[in-house]
Amino acid sequence: MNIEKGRCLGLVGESGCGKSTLGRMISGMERPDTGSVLLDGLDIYNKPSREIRALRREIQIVFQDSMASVDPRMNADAIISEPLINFYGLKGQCLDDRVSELLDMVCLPDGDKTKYPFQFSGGQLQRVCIARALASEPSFIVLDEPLSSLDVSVQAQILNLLSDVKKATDVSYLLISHDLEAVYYLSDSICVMYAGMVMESIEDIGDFYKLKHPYSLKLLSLRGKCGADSTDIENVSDSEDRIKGCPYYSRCPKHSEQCKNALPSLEKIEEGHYIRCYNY
Amino acid sequence: MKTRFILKRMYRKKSVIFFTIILAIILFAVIAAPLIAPNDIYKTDLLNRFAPPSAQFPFGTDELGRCIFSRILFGGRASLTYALIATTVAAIIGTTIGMISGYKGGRVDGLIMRICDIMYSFPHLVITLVIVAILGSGIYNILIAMLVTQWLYYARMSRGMTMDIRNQNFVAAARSNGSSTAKIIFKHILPNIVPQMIALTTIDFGHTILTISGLSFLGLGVQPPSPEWGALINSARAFIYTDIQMILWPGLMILLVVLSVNVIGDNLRDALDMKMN
Repeated sequence: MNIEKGRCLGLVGESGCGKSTLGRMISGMERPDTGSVLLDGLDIYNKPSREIRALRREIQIVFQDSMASVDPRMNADAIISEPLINFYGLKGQCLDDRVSELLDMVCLPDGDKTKYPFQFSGGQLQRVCIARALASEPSFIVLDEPLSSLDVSVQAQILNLLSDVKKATDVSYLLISHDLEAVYYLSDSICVMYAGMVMESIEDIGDFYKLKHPYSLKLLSLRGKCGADSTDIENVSDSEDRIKGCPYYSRCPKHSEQCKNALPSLEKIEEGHYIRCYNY
Repeated sequence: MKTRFILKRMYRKKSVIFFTIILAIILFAVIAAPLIAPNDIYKTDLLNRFAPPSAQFPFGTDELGRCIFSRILFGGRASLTYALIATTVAAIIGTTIGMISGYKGGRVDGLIMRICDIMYSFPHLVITLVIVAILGSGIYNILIAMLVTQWLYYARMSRGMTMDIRNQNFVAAARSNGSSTAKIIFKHILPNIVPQMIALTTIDFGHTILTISGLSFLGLGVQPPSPEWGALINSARAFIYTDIQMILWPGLMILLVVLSVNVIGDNLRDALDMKMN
């Protein structure tokens, strides 16, 4: 999985497939058992602790539940100031100006500085979180389902905001979501994940319609249909099958003997399009 | 703003107002003891033993003709100061240890909690007696003993709350915003557990007054002729049938202070608990 500078990778998949875990690993909160996370070609988990702190400046995360991701006893000013003080040692007027600038960037009035988390709405608080993430001028932001706790009209505003920020600051995103439309809107490329594995990946979001892994198609067909066919979404295959063959085997309409016995590898089927399936 | 909100919630009940006033009066009188006390607390007058209350001796005199009222005022200084020191120090040390234990987890947590378990398994009085036996009697050794037995309650409670908070995303966010462990513990976790710890401290304060008085009653704490509420009760014990006022007044003081502090602490905890509303 690759994310280039100034681009956004959309990561989709059902609940519990490991999207958030991946996000947490990338942002340095959980050490991966195998594999590595490279930023500018350097392994972030293979560094002396002093450098890890500097690295934290580069990678920020925005969480799904904005209320839980801010200290309830701090006002917006203190929340946004924290990274500025820690990473840049700003104080006094400098700090104040920078906080105002960041609030302005996320379209919040300057007067909101003195407000506490419980005085904000979900969308406003998510903006505060985004401002905090931007404060350290990161090169990479993990957006861990930033829209799920918001209502639809606010989702659109936040999406626009994120897209504006991307243009303005040349930051890269990893957008974790199960909302395919949001991913389509914001992302430059897309990865479909199932049971901890990338099943399909497309480098150009323009080829969105080319998604053809049985699981991707399932996700696409379920879009907008609330609880349409619950039997399709339920029962993730039991672990025995998962160890040997394709994790999607038991739910796949196109499954064959081969899928059951060996895990397919991620194959390139055309330029910028990778898929983990024996059918292609 | 938040403080005002909590105080408002707390003082909705008349009983809380009543006990706050009582506690305030006692505290004021004890602090201003040198100005208020009508008589020298060490001056004996054997011709005026067991005198009934009068203008000069508001609570009467004891078996050596000393002014009970003055001795209670000065005794309160000892009782309340020592209780305050013991509770505060135990609260600070216990909370800090608990936060480190809860935040670090793993081996550090295991070690600290096993120490707590061991301490829990001895009756406090036994630990106190052992410490007094090693260090000798006297109020400072009693304070050390109180500290040794009290910190674990704060450690246990703050550890539990820290573990809840540690797993919340705002702590993860603080870490990715470059805050050090110490900064996370003292800037993010501490402010979020301080209200509950204050409530625990106020309730424990009453308990500590009783313990110090109890140990002084046993002759282990404040030594005569220095006045202390528990020590006053101890010396009055011999005259309980002949002269009730000697034991009545210091006993009443302990009762009032402990009751007030408990009522205030209880209501403070309720006021701080957002779920109660």
